[in-house]
Amino acid sequence: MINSMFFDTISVSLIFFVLLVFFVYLAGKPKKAVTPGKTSIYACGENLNPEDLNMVQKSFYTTIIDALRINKLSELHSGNLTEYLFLVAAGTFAIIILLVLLW
Amino acid sequence: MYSFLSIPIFLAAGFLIPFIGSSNAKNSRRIALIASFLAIVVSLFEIPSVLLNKISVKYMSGWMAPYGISVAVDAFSLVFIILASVIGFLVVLYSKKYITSWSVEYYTLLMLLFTGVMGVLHAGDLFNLFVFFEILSIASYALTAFHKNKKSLEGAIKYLILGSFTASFMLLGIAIIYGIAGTLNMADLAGTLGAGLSTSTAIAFGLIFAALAFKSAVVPFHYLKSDILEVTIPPVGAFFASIVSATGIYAIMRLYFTVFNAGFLTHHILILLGVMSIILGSLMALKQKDIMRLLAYSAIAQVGFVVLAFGMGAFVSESYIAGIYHLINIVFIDALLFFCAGVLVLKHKTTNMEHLQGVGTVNPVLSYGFLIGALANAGVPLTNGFASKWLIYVASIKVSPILTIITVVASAITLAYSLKAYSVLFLSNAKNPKTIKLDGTIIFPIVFLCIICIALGIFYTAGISISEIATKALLNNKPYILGVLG
Repeated sequence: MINSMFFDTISVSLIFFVLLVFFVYLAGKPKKAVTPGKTSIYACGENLNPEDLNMVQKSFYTTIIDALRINKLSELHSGNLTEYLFLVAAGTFAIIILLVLLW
Repeated sequence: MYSFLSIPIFLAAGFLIPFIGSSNAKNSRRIALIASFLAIVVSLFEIPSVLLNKISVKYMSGWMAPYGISVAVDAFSLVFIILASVIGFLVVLYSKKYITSWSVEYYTLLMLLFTGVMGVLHAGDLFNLFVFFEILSIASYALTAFHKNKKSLEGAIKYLILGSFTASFMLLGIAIIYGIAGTLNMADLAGTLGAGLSTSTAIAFGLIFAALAFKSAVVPFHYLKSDILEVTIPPVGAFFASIVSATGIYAIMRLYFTVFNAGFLTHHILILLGVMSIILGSLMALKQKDIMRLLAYSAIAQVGFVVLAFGMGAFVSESYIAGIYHLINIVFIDALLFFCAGVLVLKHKTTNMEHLQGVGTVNPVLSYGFLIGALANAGVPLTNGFASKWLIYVASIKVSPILTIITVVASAITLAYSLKAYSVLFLSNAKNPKTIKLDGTIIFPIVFLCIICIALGIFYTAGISISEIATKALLNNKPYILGVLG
C-alpha cells in the first residue's frame, strides 16, 4: 500500500525509527556542557586539561599505514611531470594490449 | 529540444560577462547566476519529451544525420545534464566569497567550463564530443591556475601538458574510427561498427578510453587529480571532482554501449580498473595530511566503485543501475565535502590538516554538513552512499566474493579516513579558533546537498527508479539509433 516510485515500507520505517530515536534522546534530557570537574582523573588524584585528553587524530592511522606500506605506494605520486607522462602512456598501452587480446 | 539551449546560454554568458562585467564586477556574477538558473530550467523542461519519446534530437541547420551535426538527449544523458546544471548553479552561488578580484575572468572561464560540460553531454558525434572536451579542458587549465601562485601555476602547466597528451590520444582514436567507418555520428557508427569488431577498433577505443579516463581519474590515469584539486580554488575543485569526473564516465559509457557495442570480455578490464581505483584511492586517502588531496583520493576511490559496477554489469544486469545510482550520489557527496572543507581553507589560507585542527568547531552548519558528507561517502545507512553501495555489494556477491570483500573493506577504509578528517577539523580543540560567519551563498548549497544526501538515502526507491530509466536508455541503443538516423 505504501510502495510507490518514491518510497516504500523501508523508507517509512527509516523515518519512523529516526524520529523514535530522536524522541528517546530528547526524553533523556541531555546536558549541554561538560563541567571541568568531570575530566579529572580521580583514581590517582591527577587533574588533566581537556586538551590533553584528546587523541592525536592525524597520527591515529600511522600503524596501519606502516603495516600496509602505503608510504611505498605514495612514491608513485612524486609530482614529477615526466613520471606522470610515462605512467599515462604505459597505462594506455597496457589497456590497448589487453583490449586487443580480449576483444 | 529545450536542454540544448543550455549551451548557447552559457556561451552567450561567457561572451557577455567581459563586456558587461568590466564596468561593475558584481554584474559578472549576476549574469553567471542567471545563466546557471536558466540551464536548470531548460534541462527540467526536457524531462517530459525524453520520457515520452525516449530521445530528443536536434539537427543543426536542418542537415539530417549522419551528414550534419546532430544533438541527442536520452534519459541517460538527461540525468547528467540536470546534475551538471544543478551543481553548476551551486558552484556559482558558492563562489561569491572566494572571488573578490578578477571576477570577470573567473566567471567567463566558469561559463566556458559549463559550456564544455553541456556540449559533451549533448554531443551526437565524436568530433563535437572532442571539441567540447577541449573547451572544457582549456577552461579547466586556466581555472586551475586561478590563484596565480607558484603551486597553482605548476599544477596548471602539468594539467595542460598531460591534458594535451591525452587529447592527442583521443584525436588519434577518432581518426582511426573515421578511417574504418567513414562517419563520426555516434548512431551511424553503432550500426557500422556493430557488424564486426576488429583490432583497429579495439585500439581506437583504447586510445579514446585513455583520454576520457584521465578526465574521470580512473587508475592508471588518476595521477593529476590530487595535484589539481590541492591547488585549485574550492568551488572549482568541487566542480572538477563531481561533474567533470561524471562527464568523463558518461562519455566512456556512451561510447562503450551506444557506439562500440562493447564485447563481454572488455568488462573484465573495467572490473580490474575499478578494483585498482578503489584500492589505490582508499589507501592513498588514508595517508594524506592535506584535506584537499584526501578528498581527491576519496573521489578516485568512489569513481572506482562506479567503474567496478559497470564492469560487473555483464554478469549481473542490476549492477548497471547500481553504477549509475552511485555516480549520481558521489556527485552530490563530493560537492558537499569540497564545499564544507573549502570554507575552512578560505578562512585559514591552508589545506594542511595540521594547521586546520579544530577550526571547524565554531560553525555547526559546516560541521554537520561535513559529517553527513563523510558518512555518505563511507556508505553509512540513512545516507545515499549506503543505498548505492549496498546495490554494488549485492551485485558483487553474485559475481565473486572477493569483489565483495574488497568493496566492503574499502568502505571501511573510507569511513576511517572520512572520520579522521572530520575529527581533526571539527572535533579537535583549536588553539585560536576564528569565527566563521556564513552567508546564504554558502549555507544554501551545503544545506541543499545535505538534504539531497539524506533524502536519496531514505527515499532510495526514487534514486533507483531514476537510475533504472537511465540504464534502460543506455543499454538499449536501438531507440537512440532510430531517433537520430530517423
